[in-house]
Amino acid sequence: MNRRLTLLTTVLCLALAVAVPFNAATASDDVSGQNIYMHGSPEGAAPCAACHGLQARGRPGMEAPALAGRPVALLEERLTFFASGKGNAIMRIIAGKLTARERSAVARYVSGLPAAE
Amino acid sequence: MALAAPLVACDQAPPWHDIDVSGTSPSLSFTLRRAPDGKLVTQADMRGKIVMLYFGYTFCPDVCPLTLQNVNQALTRLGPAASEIRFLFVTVDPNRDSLNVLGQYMSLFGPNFVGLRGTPDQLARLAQRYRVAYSVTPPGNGHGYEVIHSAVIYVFDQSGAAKLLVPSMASQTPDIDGLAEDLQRLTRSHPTWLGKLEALV
Repeated sequence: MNRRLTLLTTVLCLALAVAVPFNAATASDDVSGQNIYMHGSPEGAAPCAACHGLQARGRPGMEAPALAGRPVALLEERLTFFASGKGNAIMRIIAGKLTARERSAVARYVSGLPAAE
Repeated sequence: MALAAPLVACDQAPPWHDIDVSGTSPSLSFTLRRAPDGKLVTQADMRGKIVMLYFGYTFCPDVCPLTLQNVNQALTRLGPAASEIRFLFVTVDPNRDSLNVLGQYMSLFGPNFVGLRGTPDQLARLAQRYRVAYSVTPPGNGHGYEVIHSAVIYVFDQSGAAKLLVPSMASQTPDIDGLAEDLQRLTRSHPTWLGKLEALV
């Protein structure tokens, strides 16, 4: 009986160990950094690509800088800075409409784009 | 007299959130090339749709992307009725906004957004028709490429008659709900014979 109980407990623990990270991954993946970058967010943040370009390499003649390939932590830190109401007036509005999870997803997407050589 | 007053009040439509320009602004009329395919389009191609007319440029760092996204938000609130609306984005900077650049930019905002490009002469005549101000100054004398443009949006009904003027959707507090309600109301109403007559003017 005890052996059965131990076995059952072990199976349950293993199931939990597999299920928890799986759920966590699903929860973060439902926010698409690419979609926000290209088409804006449901809360009305403008698409980043409009100013930073489709490949996040900036657009000549605009002040929006190239972002492709920059470190995730740096991009996320800047977005959080703008979202707190500091810095560039336009970025304050845009980042202010993104949730922390959305900022993180966008930062990961942009960081993964190849930087210009 | 006492009886007449309430009857008149009953007949009055509720006020719009945006500025009512019915009968005071010119009807929809244009001939421009559509991005990215370059097809020549006119007001006739828009018949049956609610049209929003805006003058901007894709290199705009602030007003244009915010305006487009806020309009997009309003359209999202309309649900399926949004398919009856077209947002015409006329570039005031055709030198830099090629049909390809314009087409790519519009695709960021969705299928309701149409990029239009004209010759300098076509653009000047269209802007003059709607009293829209713009200027493009190439770089020189210590300044960069400068573009100035109005941020207003004209709204036309299904027959092409001017109905509303949206002051700015790039302000600190854009009235997105108000715009959505106005657009919803327009999609539910149908042009009167008077409106159709106005559209011919």
